[in-house]
Amino acid sequence: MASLKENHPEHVLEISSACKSFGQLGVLKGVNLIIKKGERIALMGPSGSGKSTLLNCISGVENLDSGDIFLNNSSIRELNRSGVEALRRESIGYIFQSFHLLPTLTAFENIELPAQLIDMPKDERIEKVRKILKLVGLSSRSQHKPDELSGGERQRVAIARALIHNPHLVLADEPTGSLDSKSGDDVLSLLEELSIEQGVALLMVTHDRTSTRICNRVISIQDGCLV
Amino acid sequence: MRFLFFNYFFIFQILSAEWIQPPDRSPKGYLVPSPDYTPNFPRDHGSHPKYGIEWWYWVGHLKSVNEKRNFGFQSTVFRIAGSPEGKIYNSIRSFGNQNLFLVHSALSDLGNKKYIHHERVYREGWQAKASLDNLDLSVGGIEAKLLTEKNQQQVITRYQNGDRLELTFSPLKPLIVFGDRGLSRKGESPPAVSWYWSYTRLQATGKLFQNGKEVSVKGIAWMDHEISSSQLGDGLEGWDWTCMQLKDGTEVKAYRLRTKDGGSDPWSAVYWIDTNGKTVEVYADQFKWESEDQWKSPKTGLIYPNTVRITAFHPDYGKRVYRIRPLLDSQEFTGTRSDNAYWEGACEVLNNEGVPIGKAYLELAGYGGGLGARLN
Amino acid sequence: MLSFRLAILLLFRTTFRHWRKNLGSYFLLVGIVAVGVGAFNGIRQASRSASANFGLFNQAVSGQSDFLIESSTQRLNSNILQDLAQISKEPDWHLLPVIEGSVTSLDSNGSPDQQLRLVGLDLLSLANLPSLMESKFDFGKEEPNWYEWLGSENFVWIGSEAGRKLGIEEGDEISFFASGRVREMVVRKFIDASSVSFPDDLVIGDLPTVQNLLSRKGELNRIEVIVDQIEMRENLNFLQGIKDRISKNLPKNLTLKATQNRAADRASMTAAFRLNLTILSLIAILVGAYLILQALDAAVVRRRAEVATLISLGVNRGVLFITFLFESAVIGVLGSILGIGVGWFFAFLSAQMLADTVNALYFATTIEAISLTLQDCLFGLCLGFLFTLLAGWLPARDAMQTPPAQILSRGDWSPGFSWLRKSRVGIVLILSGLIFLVFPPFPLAGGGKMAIGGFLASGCWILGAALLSGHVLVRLAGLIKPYCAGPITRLVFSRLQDGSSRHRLSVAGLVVAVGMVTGMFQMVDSFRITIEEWFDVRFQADLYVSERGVTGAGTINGIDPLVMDKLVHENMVSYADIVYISYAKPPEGITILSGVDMKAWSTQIRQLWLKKPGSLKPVEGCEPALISETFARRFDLIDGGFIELDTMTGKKKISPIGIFSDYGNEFGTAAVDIPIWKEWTQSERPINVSLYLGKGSNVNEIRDQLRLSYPGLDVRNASELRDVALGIFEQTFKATSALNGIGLMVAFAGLLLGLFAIFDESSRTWFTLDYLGFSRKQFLLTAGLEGAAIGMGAWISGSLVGVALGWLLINVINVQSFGWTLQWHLPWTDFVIFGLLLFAIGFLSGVLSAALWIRKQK
Repeated sequence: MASLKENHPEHVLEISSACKSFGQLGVLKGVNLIIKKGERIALMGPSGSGKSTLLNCISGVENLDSGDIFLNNSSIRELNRSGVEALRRESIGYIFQSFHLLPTLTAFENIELPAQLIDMPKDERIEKVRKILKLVGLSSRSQHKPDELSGGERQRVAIARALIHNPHLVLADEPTGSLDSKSGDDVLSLLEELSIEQGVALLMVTHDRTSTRICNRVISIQDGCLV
Repeated sequence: MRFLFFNYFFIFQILSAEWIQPPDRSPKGYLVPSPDYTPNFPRDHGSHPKYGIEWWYWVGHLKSVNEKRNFGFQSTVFRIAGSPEGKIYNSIRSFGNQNLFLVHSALSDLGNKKYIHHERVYREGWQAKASLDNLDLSVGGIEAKLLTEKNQQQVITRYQNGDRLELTFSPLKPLIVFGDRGLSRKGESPPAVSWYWSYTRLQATGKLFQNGKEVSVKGIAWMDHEISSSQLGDGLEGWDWTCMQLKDGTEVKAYRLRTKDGGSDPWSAVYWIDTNGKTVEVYADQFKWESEDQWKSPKTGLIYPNTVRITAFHPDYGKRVYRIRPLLDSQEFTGTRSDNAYWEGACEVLNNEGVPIGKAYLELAGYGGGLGARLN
Repeated sequence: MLSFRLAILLLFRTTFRHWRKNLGSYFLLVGIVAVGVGAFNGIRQASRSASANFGLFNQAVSGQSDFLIESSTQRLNSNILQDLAQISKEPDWHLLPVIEGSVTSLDSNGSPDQQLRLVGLDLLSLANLPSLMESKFDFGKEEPNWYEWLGSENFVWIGSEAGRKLGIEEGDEISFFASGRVREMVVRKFIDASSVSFPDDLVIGDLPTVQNLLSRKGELNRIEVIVDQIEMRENLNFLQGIKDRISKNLPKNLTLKATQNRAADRASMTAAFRLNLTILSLIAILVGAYLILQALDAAVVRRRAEVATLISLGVNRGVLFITFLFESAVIGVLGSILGIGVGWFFAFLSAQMLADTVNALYFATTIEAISLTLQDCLFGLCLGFLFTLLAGWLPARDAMQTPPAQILSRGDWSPGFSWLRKSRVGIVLILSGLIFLVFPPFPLAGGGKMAIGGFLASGCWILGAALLSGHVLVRLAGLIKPYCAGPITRLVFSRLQDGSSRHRLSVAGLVVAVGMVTGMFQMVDSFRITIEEWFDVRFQADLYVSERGVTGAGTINGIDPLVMDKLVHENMVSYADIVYISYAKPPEGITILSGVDMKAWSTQIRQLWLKKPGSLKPVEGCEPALISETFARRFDLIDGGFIELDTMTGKKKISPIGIFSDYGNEFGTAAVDIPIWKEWTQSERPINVSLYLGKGSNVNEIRDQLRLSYPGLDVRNASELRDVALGIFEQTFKATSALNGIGLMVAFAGLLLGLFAIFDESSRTWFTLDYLGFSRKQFLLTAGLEGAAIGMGAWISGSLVGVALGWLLINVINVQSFGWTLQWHLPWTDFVIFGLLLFAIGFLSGVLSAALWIRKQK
């Protein structure tokens, strides 16, 4: 069933009446949200308010019970599994609180992986990885594996990985949650810088008010509703 | 596969007033013992395979030389021929197929109240041999042969656990040929005759090897050798038989044939053998065989009337009473087939007043019911 | 006590709850233990059942015997009975002469139908046997007519079931082959065997009748002794007394031994064969134990945080140790109980196979009903329990050593087994294997030898290779990874290069199985090729003639000398190489004495000579002999010397003048000149003959002609003989291949389990990849490739150790145990096919375990 929706080219993400519950527990209760190109939004809320669930629904890892999510004006609900997988591969970058780098790959390889997944030509890919490594200041550590990097470095690799394939939207789940304040600051600055440079929209879940400094807009979620 | 030829064990001899001429051959085709035959010894101590049935039988009472221990013994070898038309497929001497042999061996240790016995059946061959020319038997655990001296016989009987009885018998009386014209009659049927030769009093000396020890023994024994080719008559349930060796130097042989209705067959008889070996006999109407007591076997459950009172009228001396008492109750011979069990054992003989007058061997057969069926 | 209770509490509160989450894995684990214990127990039971009887077929009728009177040649002449007559007089025992032979019945078209055991007993004296009275065994209402069938020409008795199988009625005739003739026997009656177990292939006849039917007049195989007082059998003093009394009068050339010793003797002669099977069956248990180690280690890793928390809460480390040991004990007990059932099933499946092998190679035997004794149950339980406990030991210790602080701070990072990462242990094991190689073989009771050093070396090498295989995997992955551009291959090889304990354990478990299987490949292949080459050299005659209808080394009647005489004087025969064999008794065990045309064998008949005739000098006063390599090695005669053999006519000394290769048996053969053989064995009966035809003869035409004239003989040309022999050869390796199969199955199950654990532990990676847009297909492909790569890693390491094992089996174990020199041959194609198979199975296992993982995540 095609959703009747007006096409707004400037909208990267559009969430309308998103509901999601786990059993009896309603986690998202009619969330509506629009993120435009280049917009950086901080999503705040207490534990269990539905922040992470919302991110998971946006990335298609979890399905909505009702409502819809449009990424670049196409509905996630209408996509089959491989469509969702392709959407994630091509349009979304993800940054986790605990980095989630693949332990067996080097920093370079970790960053290169999403580009490989979208079949970016090898030369372009390598060039791009090098460039972004330089941008995140880790050119010298490209051959190191995650367990040889510090927390801040790991998160910088994660940011590079999230941006390498030119996504439209970066979802960041507490990107500074595992970092000390200095490294956290560095990572936030990097995130801001890169998202501006690449014109990518950012939806960042955070607890920390100071983190919101890099965002255009701060929204709060409480009991499954945006306030 | 069990063979019971036990039914041949006792062949009845009946003296009939009228002479019945036996045929040359039995219905099965075996030679029938001929009348007026003068046994030719030692040849006739040997085997007679052209005749259907034959046995050698020794019983007796023994004492250890120090007189402290008393024994009774029975050693019997039977020979049974197959069909005379039977084909001899194998001439291999180890496994013949024309004759079967059985051994019955029993020893009664009267002081210790122990009775040991066993039965074996063999085909003629490596385990069973009988000479045609002489007394020379080797059948399972029994070996018997004639010694060169004075008609002496040597009999070796083996028992369980390596025990062994080695006896030498010396005849104290000449051999007795029972029956009219040398034929002992077993019934009205013309071929029902046998040659029946006995040593009624043999001096026995020898050794008993028991539990690895050697005991010298001596005593008095009885020996039968009978040859015939005929089957038994109908209507018999069993028989009681005894041989008595009395202190006065005479012997008495008595038997009754029990009919199914509980009576005695008319050919039942009593023989007296005097000190010179002369015999007189009376028949069923001249004697009574009564049971005075009985014994129930704990092993087979059979009841044997093993205390017997025989009242007979001697043609010369008139009424005689012989009371036979077992010296040991448990002298029951159970063969390979329990319904063929019989009682045969050492007894003493008392006169009417209860005074011991001699020793006897008593045989009570056909109390298991199996025999009657097999006789027919 | 408190710690014990706490351990039980933890077992129920934590362990079993974890089990519930991974029920499938634990089922598989219990199943693996069950298969391991089952394979071991099954072989035990099957070989017991297959060797319980060792040829005393008459006992179905005559009951258990206590002693056997035998000659060194396993044959007797009936005349010997006259010498035993004195012994037979004693009523304390029964002597039961026995003749037996294998014959083949013919169907209505005259073609071979069924193999039957024709056993001759003195049917009349059976009546004396105590057991017969007990069993109520009955020949029917035959007794009064004994003279009609006693010692008859051809009357026999069979069980009614056998009658049904042969499709005959009482009174019918059965045609059969025996001793090179076609004969007929008449079924007099069916035996009502309702109360006794009467084998279907047993035919009973009177002793002289059977001698006649087998054309073996005057021959016996043995004389059994049965005590009369069977209730005294348990009394050893009583039996010893009986034995002493019989021995006292026993003729010199005869031996008396307890019947159970015969089974033991024969069993000891097949000891090497059974030992091989037992060792093979142990592999399944070893691999199983290895898998348990792997699975429990995975459990420890998965629960590391939980363990760390428990330690932080003050739970004693000993309690944790006990809890994990308990866990393995529960798996062990459950698996072993199941394994007893599985063992029975295996035994049921394999008993006939083993019996066929034993029949083909060693002695005539039949299978008895598979019995499951309490001992089997206990043995199985103990074995499974012990192995799983041993396997649980290391993970339990690992759990115990969990440091709380470190774990809590570093998340789920697991050191795994540090010793797996050290190559030193593996290298030490491989070096010690080399040292074991110089160990001399260990002599066994029956005269065989056990290659103890060889077995120890193979154990060390397998273990060493298993330990080192992880390093090989890591190195190989490191070599390949730079060439991987794609995300999937890069991921796979980076993971393999990283070499987690789990990967190392998985590959090691598989290496054990691969090593064994490829080792066996080589042995079987080398064997086949050697035998084929031996055939080509050895069998140069035109036609080969043997008794028809008898296969294997079981009960051979041989050929009637009259038939042989007629055959060799046929005018197309230019030379006949007649061979005679009989058993002979060396100081230890049993061996084969053969009679051959020494002159022809030394000059014309081609052989694979290890030492050419004349190259060894015979010892003076000894009969010169040509001996087989097996014989030479068994009795240490490789460089000449002499040995004394007990024959029918007493002890004889033989001394080798040449040594030939022979793969026919493992008892060894010594060949002397025919007249000497006849004199020593008192027999005239040849076993086979090779015919050399006149020049220009049409071999197959003459073969067909001879087949028509001698229907009781098998007449084959060289290629037909070769087919038959190779058929027997295949038969002998059947049980071995079955066990190999079981070992492989267990290894594959383990691979599946290992891969599942690997994926389970990499959950985080997969989640991340999922967020990165890694498709399910890509995930399954990654998993499949990882599995396949592990399979290939195991193939490479396993094949390396397999080649070493093959060398060991062929050049050490075979030579020491059987005295056979084989030409080592590497079956390349088998190796490659096996590699492909491993790749495919690894791939499938990977995909399957990934699919399972996905299902579990849902």
